[in-house]
Amino acid sequence: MTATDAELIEASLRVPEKFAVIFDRHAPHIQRYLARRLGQQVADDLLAETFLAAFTKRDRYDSSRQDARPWLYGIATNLVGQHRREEVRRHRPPSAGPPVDDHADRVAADVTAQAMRSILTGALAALSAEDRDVLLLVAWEQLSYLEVAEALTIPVGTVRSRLNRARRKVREALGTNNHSEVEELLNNG
Amino acid sequence: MDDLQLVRELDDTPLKSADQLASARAQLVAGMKPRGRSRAGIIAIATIAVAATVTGVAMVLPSTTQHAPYPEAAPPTTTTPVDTAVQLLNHAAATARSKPDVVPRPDQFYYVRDGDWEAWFSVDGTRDGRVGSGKNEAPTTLPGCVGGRKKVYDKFDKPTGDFEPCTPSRAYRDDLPTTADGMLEFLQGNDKNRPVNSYGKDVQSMFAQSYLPGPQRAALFEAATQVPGLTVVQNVSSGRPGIGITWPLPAGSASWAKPNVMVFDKETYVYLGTKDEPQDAAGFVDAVGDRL
Repeated sequence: MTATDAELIEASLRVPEKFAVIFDRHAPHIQRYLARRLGQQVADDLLAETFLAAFTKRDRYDSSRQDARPWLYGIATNLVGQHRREEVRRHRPPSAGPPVDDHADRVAADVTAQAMRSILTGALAALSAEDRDVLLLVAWEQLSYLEVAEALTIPVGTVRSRLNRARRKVREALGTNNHSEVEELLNNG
Repeated sequence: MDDLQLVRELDDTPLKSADQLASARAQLVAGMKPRGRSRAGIIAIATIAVAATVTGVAMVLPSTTQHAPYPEAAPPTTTTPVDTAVQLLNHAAATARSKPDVVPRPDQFYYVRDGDWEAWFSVDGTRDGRVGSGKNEAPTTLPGCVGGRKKVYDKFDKPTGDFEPCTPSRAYRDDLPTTADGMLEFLQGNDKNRPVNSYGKDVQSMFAQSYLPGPQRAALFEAATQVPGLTVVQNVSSGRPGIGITWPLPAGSASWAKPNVMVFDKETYVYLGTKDEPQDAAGFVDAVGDRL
């Protein structure tokens, strides 16, 4: 029978090397998450740091959570928080992109995939760190509300409210607050 | 398609392969090597285990069962009240004080094998030790501390040429308290309200890393009698049948979680390992690479 993450972490308290299996199971996803948020180079540097931090605090792991990935996402997110400057720089729209003040008109006229990308990256950069954490854990890493709550150690209700606020700001950046309009814009673009 | 899907499609970063992540993995493994053995809580308890046991120059504990990586179906066990645990610990302490003890040379190493994992710890903390795990894992060096400094190794276990400040991490702990009160104070460190599960896990995680001479070992057993919540488990096995000491799971544990059990020989009180992790061998050797 394959051991759960919780069992492995428990066993690693006696035989630390067993924690390496946690790395083998989850490192690809944690690395991709870090890369998405901070770029490949920083991600490679922070990947080992994430797992070493997890290893250090494994005695406080909640053994009722059999899947450790949300916990690891939480640790990675904390490290991302220490590199906000790089992240904002990464998500800043390119200088050739559309100016913010007239984007609604421009979207209405001619939306290209590249322009859409610029708008979205700009919208992400403009979010508060807390809202961005929730939005990206849901959108990119496809965590459930409960898993995000576990990862960030916040109530599920807070996850919902932050996600709601983040999505509203993204839609506003796209020049619409209507889902069908977004889809239409995308298709036309 | 909604805004969430748009954000999702904004990024198509691929997952990296295990080979591409090997460097980070090596960093993690190197960082997992034992350090901070001076931490009070950890060291002392480790001793409970290893110390409890040794009666000769080298303690060799052959296991008749295969190393079991993860919990399997628990054999039927029965627990008896705390009083019995106290009696057992007092008996073990008396045995530890009365038996002649091994005194290794400072230049020797404390060797421990636990399944695929094995390690050599410098008796006086000034020699380079080593820890390894399985044939596929490169061993890592435990740098000795000489004159207040030790060599720094990179993630590939090669000396960088740099040094860092240190205090020797002794594997032979004749520097620890020899009274129950002194040992308890040492274990508690700055936290007078440590839960029993915290003590217990420290014990288990440090089993393989130090040896307590008889007086320190006895003090540790006697200190353990003052830790509330300990119970004795009859008819338990860790490779060999023995008597176990366990403690309650912390509140909120998963329904499938099982208490840890430290197992001792019924006659000699030699430590055998935990119910799920038998210790295969432990004792003093002359050089890194020597085995029992």
